[in-house]
Amino acid sequence: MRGQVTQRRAAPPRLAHILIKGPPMSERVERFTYDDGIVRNFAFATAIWGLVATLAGVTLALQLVLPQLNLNEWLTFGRLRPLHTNAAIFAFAGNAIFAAVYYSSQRLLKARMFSDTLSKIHFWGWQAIIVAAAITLPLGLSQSKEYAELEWPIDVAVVVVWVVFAINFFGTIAKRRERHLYVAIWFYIATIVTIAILYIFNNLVIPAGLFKSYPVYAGVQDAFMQWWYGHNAVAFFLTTPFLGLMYYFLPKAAERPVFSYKLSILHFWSLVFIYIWAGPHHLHYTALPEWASSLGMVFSVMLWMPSWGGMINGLLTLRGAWNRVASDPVLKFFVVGITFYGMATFEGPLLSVKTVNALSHYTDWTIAHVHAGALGWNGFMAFGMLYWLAPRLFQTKLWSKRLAEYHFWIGTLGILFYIIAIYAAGVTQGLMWRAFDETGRLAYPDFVETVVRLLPMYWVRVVGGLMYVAGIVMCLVNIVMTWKNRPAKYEEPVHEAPALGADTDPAPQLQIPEHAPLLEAHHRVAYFTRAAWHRVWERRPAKFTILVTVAVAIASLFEIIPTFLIRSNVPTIASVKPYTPLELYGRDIYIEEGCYNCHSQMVRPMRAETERYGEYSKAGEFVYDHPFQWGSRRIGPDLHRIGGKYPHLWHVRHMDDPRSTTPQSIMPAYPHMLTKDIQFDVIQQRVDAMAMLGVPYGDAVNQAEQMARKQARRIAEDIEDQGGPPGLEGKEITAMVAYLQRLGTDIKQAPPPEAEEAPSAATPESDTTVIRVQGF
Amino acid sequence: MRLSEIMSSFKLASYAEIGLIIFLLVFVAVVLRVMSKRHQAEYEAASLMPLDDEIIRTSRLEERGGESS
Repeated sequence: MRGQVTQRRAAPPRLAHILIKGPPMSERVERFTYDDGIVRNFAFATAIWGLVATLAGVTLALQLVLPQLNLNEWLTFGRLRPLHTNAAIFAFAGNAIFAAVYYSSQRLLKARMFSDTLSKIHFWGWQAIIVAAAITLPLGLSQSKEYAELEWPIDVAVVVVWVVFAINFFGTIAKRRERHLYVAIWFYIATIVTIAILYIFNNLVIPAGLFKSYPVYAGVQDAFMQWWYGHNAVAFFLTTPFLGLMYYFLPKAAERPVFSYKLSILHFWSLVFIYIWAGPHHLHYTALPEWASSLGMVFSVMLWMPSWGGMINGLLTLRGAWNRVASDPVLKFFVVGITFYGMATFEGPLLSVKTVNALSHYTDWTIAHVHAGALGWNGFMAFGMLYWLAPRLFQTKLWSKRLAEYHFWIGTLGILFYIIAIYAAGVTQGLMWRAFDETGRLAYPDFVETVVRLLPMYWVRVVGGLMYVAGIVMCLVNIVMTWKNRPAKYEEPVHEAPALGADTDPAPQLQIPEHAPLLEAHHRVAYFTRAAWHRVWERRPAKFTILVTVAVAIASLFEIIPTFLIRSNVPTIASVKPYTPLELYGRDIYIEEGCYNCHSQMVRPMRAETERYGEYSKAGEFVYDHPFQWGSRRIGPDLHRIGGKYPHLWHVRHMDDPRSTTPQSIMPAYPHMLTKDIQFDVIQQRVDAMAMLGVPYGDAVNQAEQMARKQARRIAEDIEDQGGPPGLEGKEITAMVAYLQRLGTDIKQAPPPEAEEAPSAATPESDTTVIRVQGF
Repeated sequence: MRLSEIMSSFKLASYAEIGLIIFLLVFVAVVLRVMSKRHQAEYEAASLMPLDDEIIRTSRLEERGGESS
């Protein structure tokens, strides 16, 4: 190929062109402009949502130290936490990704976006989704799967907008004027394809009303699916697109090519091949089959290699330019961002090692880990990009370089305050949970002791968070002021590049010199050994990359689908029965309030846990759990064996005011549960939806409402008998009590005889803590 | 009949291991290909692409041709 170059030296002297494919044969030069307006929109949205997401985070941090800040039922920790995570991931990081994709793809592909209309639909559609999320999550409309909380109508909108984005992006690739796809584009392709698959599969639900649904998966399968999604959302929403961003904007800012392009290609392929397998490491020591979590661990450790390769590649790109880092805030943000990428990706595999995970899981260690990644890597890469883009997008100088420097320093300090305090909190609490005294009993049997110990560190987190927020305010001010200095009319430079047509760039031909037919055989061999056949493939990089990415995605589905659908992986337990209609309703309240944000339902098979909570959890206990509620963090104690532990009245008082039963508790109060009525009319619909999923509901399919009313009446009577307030019948608290008292108790029952009786038929004399409502 | 019952009747368990092996082999092939010297020049050229994308031929708004915003 390079031989041909010398023959056709007439083309524009662009190195990339010459070395990759020689100049195009066609001299048809096209003129085009880039759509920077859409990038401006996404850039603004990034900064604004960044502020919203981090303000929500600071609010949550404050609620943990001052529980009275859980002002009302819409603003409790359990409802705001999904708002915070979704805003940080989909609003802040999402808009940053789109800004990066829309700016860099047009330039790398030498083409305006496929359709300005689709760009606009993408932008406004995405912002509308974010607003819908910000409204529905505080209202308690939640699927309860972390980072997939949005209810099904919003999920549909997400998929539609994502498809619009995909059409727009792949359309741009199709009309590009640059044959070779730069590695950043590969990362974007992987993002678009994989996120679509992950999102759709994790959100397969059966609707039970406009804003209520149950996932088709239950228990172990649901957990497996969720963390396959959760883990790969980190991979393909917070890692690959930001790597694409890095591989484009870092060379731009450093004004030199990436240290090793080879390494960046390896980086890409190893992420695609390895990352997808690592999801089960979120479920160590749970009821997940052992082999699955071991596989997750092995692949997670293998991720060290590409991640650090990528980090080193990023940092070495600055070789010879380190002097500029001192004076350029953009490079400063990038250097610290990439360093945090290295730290977080070192720590991730570490946390996936089972022995480490035994200590770290359910503690703040995880929280510190994700914030090192989100604030350090995603945040700082986004800010670096914004500061680099601002003068170019608004075609004027950055309003204040000094303010950007301040942002950098206060942001970095904020992250350090945050993560150091929270690492300390995580390790402290993990060690306290497993501490035994010399008599062999738990050293801190009272869970709240392990919480109170963390409060000073939680205050440090508030300070660190506020510093980070202050930095974002500076960023926003800087961007708005730069925007104010924009020219009256943006200049729209016109670019020129030769078109790429099918005829303009033929595959390398087998060239046999006419005067030497005897050499034909030799040429044929040479053609093959030069791997020219492969180069034909390479000349269609779009198809090549897309096909490979799709293949990878399908292959991973193949690996995952059998694992979560094979029944034999979940031994059934005969005494485990479906929830009663009232319990199901109570469970829905549990989901609505976001209880899973602070309480796990998964006792791990370790002595410290069985001592504290009781019998460890079995996979077969969750077969009717649509969705699973294992949780990922214990800000409060595990609840899987809470059933029967306390009398009904304790739960009533605890929900009304947690401080009345546990003086040092930091749990929000839920007095509204004592006054809000159960919507008995929706119960039938929900039971029917569950029955549709294969839950054996028997008689309840026809009389869910009556059964629920009966059970609620009995619980209300019990509460009154125990000296509690009268008139709770028909209030939400009865459903909540019904659910909590049922939790984890089935396994203690002998396999039931043929008793098919409604709850009301249970023995009337027991007014103690015994659970009398065991289904039907 | 539950979805899981249908799926388990297909006996797909071994597919996971087969998938794993295929993944590994393809990955090794990719590594070998990327590391081979043959594509050195191509990669060097590609790495310059981000720095090569702002060549402006015509810079005035008024001179714009047919394609508009």
